[in-house]
Formats: sequence, structure tokens, C-alpha cells
Amino acid sequence: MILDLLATAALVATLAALPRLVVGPTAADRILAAQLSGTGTVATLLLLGAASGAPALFDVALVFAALSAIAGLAFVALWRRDP
Amino acid sequence: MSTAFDILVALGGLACAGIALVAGNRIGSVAAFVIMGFFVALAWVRLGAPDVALAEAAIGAGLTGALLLRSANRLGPVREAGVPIAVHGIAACLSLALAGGIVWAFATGTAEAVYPSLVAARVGESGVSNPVTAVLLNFRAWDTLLEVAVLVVALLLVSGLAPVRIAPAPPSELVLPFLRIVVPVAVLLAGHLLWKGATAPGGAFQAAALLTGGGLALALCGLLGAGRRTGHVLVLAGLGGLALFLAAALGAAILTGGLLDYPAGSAKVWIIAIESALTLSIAAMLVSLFLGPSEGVRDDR
Amino acid sequence: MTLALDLAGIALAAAGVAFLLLAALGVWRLPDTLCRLHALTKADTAGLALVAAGTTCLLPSAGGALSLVLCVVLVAISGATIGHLIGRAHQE
Repeated sequence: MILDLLATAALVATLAALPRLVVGPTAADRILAAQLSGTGTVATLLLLGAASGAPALFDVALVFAALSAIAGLAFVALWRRDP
Repeated sequence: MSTAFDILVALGGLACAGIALVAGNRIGSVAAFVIMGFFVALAWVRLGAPDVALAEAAIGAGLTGALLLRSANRLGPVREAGVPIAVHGIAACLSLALAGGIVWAFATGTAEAVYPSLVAARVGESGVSNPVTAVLLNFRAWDTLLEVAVLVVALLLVSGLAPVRIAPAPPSELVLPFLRIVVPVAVLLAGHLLWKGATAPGGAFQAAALLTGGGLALALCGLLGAGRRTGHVLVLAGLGGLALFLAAALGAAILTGGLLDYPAGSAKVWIIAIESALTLSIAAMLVSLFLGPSEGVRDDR
Repeated sequence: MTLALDLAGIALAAAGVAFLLLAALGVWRLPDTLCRLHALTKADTAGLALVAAGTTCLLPSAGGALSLVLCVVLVAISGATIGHLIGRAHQE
């Protein structure tokens, strides 16, 4: 019950990145919002996994954690001019 | 309580989709699309489909974002006065018709699920205990073979179109500690998911996506794919998986008389062998799809 | 003993979620990119580590703890590296 509540709170943190996605103003801000959402999703999955006792969710969280840097890395490596 | 969570997940996904469509800024759209993938994965988790959530996490979180950012970089900023209003209208009508059709199908169709009981009855014969792997690699292995063939066709098409190959420079020396930890862990995790796929959520596609993530991390830091030889090796590895799958199909046909009908008792060995080859080849194909063909290497800046 | 462990787990997880919410608030409200980056990296390291520590206390067996430790290490190092790279790209 309390874990459900915490998972919902972590989801709210994931959602709270969306306004920054809209207002920007720079491309770096938008990638930063995606990064925060990724961390929030990993936390949400950990809490959901603990609440439901399903270890498969920890695997999903691990996959997210392992790949969380790829989008940011692609942004830094490929994007050389600010739009 | 959980209802609030589910509603938030659904609203978050819809909000991201909306932002991705109207952002008017390519990086914003890509970032919104990546975040939508997070919510979609959470939705699959809540729907009790961790296999699909794993695939969405692996493909959506890392690879699609990197691929779209690569394209966004090639296309440059959005030009004003893009799509005419009529196109918007047609798209809206089509979307509404599709949404209406889905609602109608759910409202009138029978809720009876046909496949779970059929799969559960025969899963013991498949050699694995995870029903998803049993369907993908045994009962409907033909579908999987054709899906791998589709990837090969995509790779051939990209080679034919010959986009400019990317050759990023290392962004900073501080990426080296990051690579030294994340790439080996990604390889280990891929092996873990591949092996676990027989009994629990996991499997070849998810493992391949993780390996691809490691490969993309190396490529984006300028440590993979600089030379022409890497490209050839990747394409050969990609074709090798399909060749091995076809050889397994023919071998099984000779041994048992049915195409992809594995000999009784040794089904698990066949499945693990095919999945291992597929993992390597799908990862090689995805990485070379991202890098572009091996011809015409030049600096993309 | 179990009750104490459960309570500690919930407290740690709640502290981690509080870090995440504060980071989200920071990313939303702080005035410029570098400030927002500063808020974000706290969520990647402290926030997730606390959530994972709390979750570990609540696990029925210690076997699943390895996944959680790996999660924390991966996100922390990814967050630190990407934070550094974005900050540098922004400065240039």
C-alpha cells in the first residue's frame, strides 16, 4: 500500500519533467528532461517490483539503467549546432 | 490506489505523444518520444506483460532515441510553414477512424482469449518453460525466421541507399570510465536475459538490443566502426544469424520431417543455439543500421 | 527485526522519492541550464541509491539485491557522465 503510494510519487517525478520539455529553451534542457524521466522510471520500476514481488521488473529496470545514457550520448556526440 | 498510478501512466504517455507531435523542435520531439517509451514500458508492466516491457525498454529507451537523434542531426532545424492544413485534417480523420474501430472492436468482441490455454497445454513439449519463448522459437518459429529476414532486408536497403556514415569523435576523455563499466555490464546483462529467456521474461531480441546499446555507446565515443573492416564484419555477422537459422530449419526438416520441428528431447539445445546466434546477428545488424554502410567513410561534421 | 527492516526500507525509499521529486521541481523551476543540470544529477545518484537501498530492505531474500546494486551503479555513472558532457557542450 505505502509502496504503491511511493511508486506513484516516483511516477509524478517522472511526469514533472514534461513542462521542461515544452519550454526548453535549449536542446540541452530537453535532453536533461529525458534523462530525469529515465531515472524516475527506473525508481518507479524498483518500487513497483518491491510492491508486487515480481523480480522480472528488476530486469526491466536494469535494461533501462544500462541504456539510460545512450540518448544523451547520441545527443552530445551528434548534435553540434544549437537549433 | 493503483488506479491513480494507471491513469497517470496513460496520461503521461498521451501527453508525451502530443508534445512529440507539436513541439516544433526536433530535439524536443525526439526527447518526448523517448519519454513516451518509458510510459509505454510502464503500461506493459501494469498490463502483466514484462516480456514486451523488456523489449520496449531495450528498443525504446536506447536505440530509437539514438536513431532519431541521428536523423534529426542530418535534417537540421524545423522549417516554418511545413505541413498544409488538409494533411492535418486527413491525418486527424484517419486517427479518429482507427481509434473508433479499436473502441468498437473492444466493445463488441468477445473477451475470450484463445491462445493462452492452447500454449499452456503444449508448453511442456517445447523444451522451455517461458510461454513467450516457446511460441517465438518453437510453435511459431517461422514468424521469427521471417522477422529476422525483414531485418536483413532493411540492412540491404540501407546499404543500397548509402547514407553518410557517422564518425563521431570522442566527446571527452571522461567517457572512458563510463564505457569501461557500462559496456561490459551490458554484455553480461545480454547474456543473462538470453539465458533467462527459457524460463522467465527475456530472450534473443531483448539481449540483442542490450548488446546494440553497448555497441552504440562505443560507436558514439568513436571507438567502433571507424574502419571499413568493422562494417564488413558487422554485415557478415548479421547475415550469419539468418543463415544459421535457415540451416537449423533445414536440419530439423531432415531430422524430423517438419520444418523447424525440433527432434524430441533436444528442443532446448536447438532453441538456445538459435537464440544465441540470433542475439549476435541482430545486434550486429542494428549497430550497422545505425552506423550506415561501410563505404564512403567520412567525417560527418 | 523484520518490522524494523521494513520500516527502515520504507523510510529510505521515501527519502529517495523525496530526492526525485525535489530534482523534478528543480528541473522545472530553476532559472538556467546549469542549475537544472545540478538538480538532475542529485536524482541520478542520491535519489535512486536511496530508493534501491530501501527496496533492498523490503526484499524477501537477498538474492535480488545484486540487480538493485547494478541499477544504482549504472544510473549513477551514466548520470554523472552525461551530466558532465551536457554541461561541457552547453558551455561551448
